[in-house]
Amino acid sequence: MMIDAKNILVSYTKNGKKDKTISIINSVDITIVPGKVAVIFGRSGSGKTTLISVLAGLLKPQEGSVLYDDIDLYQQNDDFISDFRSKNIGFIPQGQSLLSNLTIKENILLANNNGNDSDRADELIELLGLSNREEYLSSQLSGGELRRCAIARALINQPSVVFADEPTGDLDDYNTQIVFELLRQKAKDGAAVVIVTHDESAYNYADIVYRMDGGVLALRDIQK
Amino acid sequence: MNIAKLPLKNIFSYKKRTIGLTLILVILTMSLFGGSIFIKSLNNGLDSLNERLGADIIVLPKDAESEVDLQNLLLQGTPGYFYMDKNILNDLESIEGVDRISTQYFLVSANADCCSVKVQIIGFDEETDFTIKPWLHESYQGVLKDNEIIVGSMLSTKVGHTLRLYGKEFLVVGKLEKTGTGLDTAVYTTGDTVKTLIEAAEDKGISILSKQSPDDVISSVYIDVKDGYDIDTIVSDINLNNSEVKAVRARTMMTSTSDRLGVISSAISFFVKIIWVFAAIILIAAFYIITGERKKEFAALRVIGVSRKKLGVLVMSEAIIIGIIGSVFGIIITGAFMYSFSVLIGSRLDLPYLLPGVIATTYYILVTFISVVLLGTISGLISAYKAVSVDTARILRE
Repeated sequence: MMIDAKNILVSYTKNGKKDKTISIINSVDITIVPGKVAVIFGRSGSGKTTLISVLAGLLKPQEGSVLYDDIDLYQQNDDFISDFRSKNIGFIPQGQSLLSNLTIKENILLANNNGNDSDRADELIELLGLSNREEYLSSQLSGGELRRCAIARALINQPSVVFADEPTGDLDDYNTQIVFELLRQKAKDGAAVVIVTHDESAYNYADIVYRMDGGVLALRDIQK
Repeated sequence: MNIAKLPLKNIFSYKKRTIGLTLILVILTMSLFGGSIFIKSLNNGLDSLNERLGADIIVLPKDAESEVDLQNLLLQGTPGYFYMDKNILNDLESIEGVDRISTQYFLVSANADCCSVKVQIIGFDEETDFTIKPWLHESYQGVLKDNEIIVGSMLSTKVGHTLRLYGKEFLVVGKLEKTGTGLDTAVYTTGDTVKTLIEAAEDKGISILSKQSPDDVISSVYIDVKDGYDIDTIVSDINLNNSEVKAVRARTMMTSTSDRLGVISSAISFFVKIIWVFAAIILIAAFYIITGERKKEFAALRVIGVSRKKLGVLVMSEAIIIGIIGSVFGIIITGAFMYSFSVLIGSRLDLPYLLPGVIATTYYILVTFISVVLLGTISGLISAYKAVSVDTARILRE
């Protein structure tokens, strides 16, 4: 599935005053191609997370459009967008995003479209080195384990698009490599993958590299 | 695991939160259900008493401190007796407007093998009675013979058993339905049997009547006034022409009881309303604050594809389930308390107190259940609105 975002503009008004508008994303155009890994580097506050929120249907921009093939996402209602996200998009947020009262496996299965693809959940749990943690609650896991669980949750529905916001932020080198290789593999399987990160090692797994600065996106490199 | 299972999972996982919210709802339920049952019981008691009195005018000996004694006798079951000359009947029967007239005899048992305390004995005239027989017949359809009695619901003796009063055995032929009044602890029999008992008491050296014969006295007279005649005028006539007795209008006798009941009912209604207002504010605020603290959880659900509508349904479902749990617990606790301690409550109140029947109780259960669940739903609605308004992208940035 190809994503084509055009002229994305996101801004916030401070205390509701129009004259105190803060621009977060400024006229960004980006095309995400299936089978490729796009990596967006940028400093904190540059607008990276906001951009992938817009691309994932989580934040309607003030201006611009996001097309998934021929579907104009923000012309649809919330029910459609949510259902679309559930079926087609895997989103790995930064920070802790698991439900603390559910076990690791329940968290992963909650995101599952049919709710009970236990085999797929077990496969991901094993792949991400969480086999002995599947019945643990999130409060019993380390930061790295939580992150790996969030990745498993994002991949449970075999999404055609994956957005990863600092997916290796809490991981050691070994697990960082596993995660990037997993995302790389998703792209090889035909998914469009977008990684937002500070981690320079992501460069090695990227097909297209962008840099975001002050809400402006610039193409930095095309690797292959 | 899926989103449909999440409300129950959340309710049972976050025990402190669930217990806190449930407690507020239990208090709401207890105040509404308990208050309603309490007020209804008081009203039932008064209605029951009014029905039992069944006469327009009651005539008592003047020195019986009429109203107070009879009220105590009827309302609190305080045993007592008093007598007046039977000749008063001739005067009363000749008054224009008097339709029916009947006499009663009161006596107190020295002791009875049914009871640890003295019981009130009420004797009525089988031929003329129109106040007691209509409701006695709910329990016993025959004509009472000598040495036969009917007992109030609170006496422990059973139909077919005998009861010993002043050394004589009496056959229990009926047991009355509960009235919630002092009449529940009384024994009912014919006037002739009471006269026999008075004689038996005298034989045992217990002085009931100082000079007169039991055949020459009565305790009270019940008068039914013909339609079209003014009851108050007849009451005045009796009091003006007979210095030895005092006539009171039956409804007037109930006025002070009715007034007390009105004050208590109003006070309870007021407190129930106050509790509801404060508890509703606390409940809505609690749901609102809890929803605010769950922003990250809602954002995580949005990320995995839960729509705003489903998020609202999730929050609403939790509120409704907690409402159901709270109201069911509240109804069970209140019901168990009210029905287990109804005798104690009634005796402490010194007012007629009769619990509502199955249909009325079911009605109050339903009204309470619907009201409490509705309040939970309204609180949930406000929270659901907050939940669906969550700015997922902003929370993800945080």
